[in-house]
Amino acid sequence: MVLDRILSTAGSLDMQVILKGENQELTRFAGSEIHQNVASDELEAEIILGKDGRELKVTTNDFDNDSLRKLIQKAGRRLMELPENDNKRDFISEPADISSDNYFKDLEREFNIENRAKKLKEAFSELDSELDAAGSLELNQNFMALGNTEGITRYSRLDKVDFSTVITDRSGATGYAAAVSNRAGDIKIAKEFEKAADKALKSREAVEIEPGEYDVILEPAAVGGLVSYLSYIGFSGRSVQEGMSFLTDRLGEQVFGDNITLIDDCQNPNTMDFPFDFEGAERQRLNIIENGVARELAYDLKSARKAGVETTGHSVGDPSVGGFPLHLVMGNGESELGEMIAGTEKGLLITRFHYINVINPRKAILTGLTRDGTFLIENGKIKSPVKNLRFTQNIVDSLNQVDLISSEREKVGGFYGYMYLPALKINDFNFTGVSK
Amino acid sequence: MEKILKDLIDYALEQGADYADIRHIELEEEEIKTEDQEVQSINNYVDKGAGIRVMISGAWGFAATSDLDNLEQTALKAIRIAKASSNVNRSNIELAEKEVMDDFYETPIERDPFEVPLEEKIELLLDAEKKMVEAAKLFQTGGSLSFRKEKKIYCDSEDSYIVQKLYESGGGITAKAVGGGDLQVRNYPCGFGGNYSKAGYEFIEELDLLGHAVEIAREAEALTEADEIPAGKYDLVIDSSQMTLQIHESIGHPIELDRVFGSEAAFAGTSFLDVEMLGEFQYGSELVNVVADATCPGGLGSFGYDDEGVPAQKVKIIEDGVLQNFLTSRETAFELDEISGGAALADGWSKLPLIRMTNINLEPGDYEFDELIAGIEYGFYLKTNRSWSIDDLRLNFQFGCEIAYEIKDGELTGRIFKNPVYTGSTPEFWRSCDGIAGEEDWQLYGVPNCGKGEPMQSGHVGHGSAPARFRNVQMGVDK
Repeated sequence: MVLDRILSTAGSLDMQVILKGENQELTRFAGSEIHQNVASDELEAEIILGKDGRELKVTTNDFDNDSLRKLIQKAGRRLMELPENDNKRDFISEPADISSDNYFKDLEREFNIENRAKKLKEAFSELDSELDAAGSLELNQNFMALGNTEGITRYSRLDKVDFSTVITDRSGATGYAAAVSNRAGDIKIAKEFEKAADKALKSREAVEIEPGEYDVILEPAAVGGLVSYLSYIGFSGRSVQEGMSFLTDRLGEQVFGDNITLIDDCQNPNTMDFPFDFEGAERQRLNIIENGVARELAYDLKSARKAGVETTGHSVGDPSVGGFPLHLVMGNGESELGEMIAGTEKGLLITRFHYINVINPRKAILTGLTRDGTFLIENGKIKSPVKNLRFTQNIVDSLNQVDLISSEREKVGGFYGYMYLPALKINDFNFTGVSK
Repeated sequence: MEKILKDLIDYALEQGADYADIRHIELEEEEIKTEDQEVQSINNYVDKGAGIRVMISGAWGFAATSDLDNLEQTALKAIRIAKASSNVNRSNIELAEKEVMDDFYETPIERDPFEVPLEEKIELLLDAEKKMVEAAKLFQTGGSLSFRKEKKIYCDSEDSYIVQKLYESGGGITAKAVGGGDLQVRNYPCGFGGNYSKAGYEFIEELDLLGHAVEIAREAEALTEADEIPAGKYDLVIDSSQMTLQIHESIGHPIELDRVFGSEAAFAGTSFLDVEMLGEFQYGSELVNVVADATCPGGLGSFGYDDEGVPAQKVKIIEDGVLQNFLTSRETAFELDEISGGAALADGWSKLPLIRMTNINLEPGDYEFDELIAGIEYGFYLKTNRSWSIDDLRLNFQFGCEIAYEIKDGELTGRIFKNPVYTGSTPEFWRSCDGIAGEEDWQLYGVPNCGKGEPMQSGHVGHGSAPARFRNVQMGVDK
């Protein structure tokens, strides 16, 4: 085993090794043709060496014995050049073993090189001649093994297929659909094409509306954009320690409306099965927001030590991030999307957001634009498509103004992994510009 | 290595490829981060692998591996992929002609960053942090340095064989202050890890982190007591570090010809430009002259050859405000019946070359910096990017900066404002440019994290600019 071979070079040093393997095959299409079709396979090891509070990381994909020995020797010498540090990180020592294996033979067979091309060709041929398809279809097979000089072993294999498409009609109107799963039967390309095409056709002759405050119905992909950024700026122990989080000094307080519950749960079958983190810690279930109250944050070892708590098993291997929730699940409500639209006097139905960024992390002010299907609702009905709008909005305020939550939830891709989210109806969402 | 790679090209041709190229890359990186006057992390990264691109019946296939004992199997996989693509596609890709090259290129450096002792690098950051802490009441300080050395061998079936040795150095410092329930951040020389250059350690020495530590520390503290700018339209002077992002998002991305052709439609979107606009479209005012210059000394987007073996070039993109050229690869240049502009680049061996920015530079104007300020009755001088966002056609943009300096009656008043945000539409904004400072104020900035493509690739690109003046810009839109 490569992992054992590397660990055997530790000598008197503390060592953690993460071995990451990835076989990625991605077929990308535009103008209803395949324009980029790629595959890569890679194996690399991240090796953390420690001694008396000093720590450094080396990463390599050269596993030749001689190269490894030289790399570790050089890293060991550099380690001792570092100043001593009181913030010693103790590597995880228990439980001894954690493993999960999500290899699906039918996923690999159904979405191999030839079948991906075949499925797309069929879908292109069924598309209205007025429409063009762009998007990507990816088969991703990867594993992570982790061990350290405390003697623990960890193994996780994660395979998935990720599909997304934007269908464009001749006028430039667009529609979006996506699916992600580790079960071959869940990815129905023709169905997603149909959904995106329907949105594109309904988006023809979009009208320009004035920016301002509108009630909005956000489909799960749009909710995913906002939740990803909230998580990025605010749900880690480190972001609170840095004072950058909108949850700074607010733990235990009612920060969102009492209809908002957000947990991080790797046991939820609609997220990915990845039961340990990049330090080997067992991933804990977090009640981040419980009925609107800020309860728990994500920690890695270093940020947990600083806060005087235990790690929650949310390291992503970068101490500047601290902890990061990879398995976000938002509590659902009781509404159907149709009912949400029917109950809206004047508002907007939004498919997804584009290029979100942070204006002010402390206040959770984000900006971004609507994309690939934005519709004006009047008197409970979709009246017309509208040109894309830019929002600039305090999202803490918005999550205090959630009027309705859908009963159905969807898997939505995040920064890492995927989330499981409902649609939301939010009142008074602030649009500050029009795309023109 | 030359024989192995050339034999592999021959093998790909024997197995049915009409064209093949291979990039073999050995990469070494070092990253040092300090925080609150302690070492936060030291990361060293060594990596090697090869990517093989083939064309069969006018369709591409690409496969890459870190297992260098497995190159023939990787070539066969690329061929299998190209065949699968060719069974789907209706049109055939063709490549613009290029010159056959056999050459070596190396980034000119004065001091190899990998030979500089770790202790010296850490000491620089800790000294800068100490200066910041001594100068102001701060909540947190930090610093970072990063270095990169890449040996890239390119070989293709048209008989080009090119070896390049490329160096990069970058660094910066951060001061965070808390007060009045607010947190404010100042970075030098710019946010998100600092400034980067294709250069050696001399670039870090020239940054003079120690010389700027006190200024940003005091500004961070002062910003916690500052007001926000009331929403409205103002005349602005924008400094070079913020111009970097303005050029990047509203000129650099729209002029990528693959984006214009729709290649990125489903991901980050397309461009408001089309090929009919060449030579016609008034992108900006007559003062606006922009080049894509891969030959620019120190530019993070500088190199000897792109990843199709095309020599680095300086291409006029906007001349006297009018769009003249796009960024092109061999494939897209063929569509315009031109030669490639040499802008096809990949993020390492495992990725396919895409059209990427090189150094997209706004050429200097004739103004003194003081003249730019003097021409404003009431407005702001904006510095250091904090956030960026642009729509999927690259038209509606919004940027946040770290600090705004008030201008009144043609002078900087000394008053500062926090959280400045401005927004606009690309052509309208560039047409409102009525002054650009001269060569003495022109600065290059490197952006090491330009995202594009699926799988996502991170591009290392550069932007040069002097401070520039824009009229009647909307500010203060956040709620």
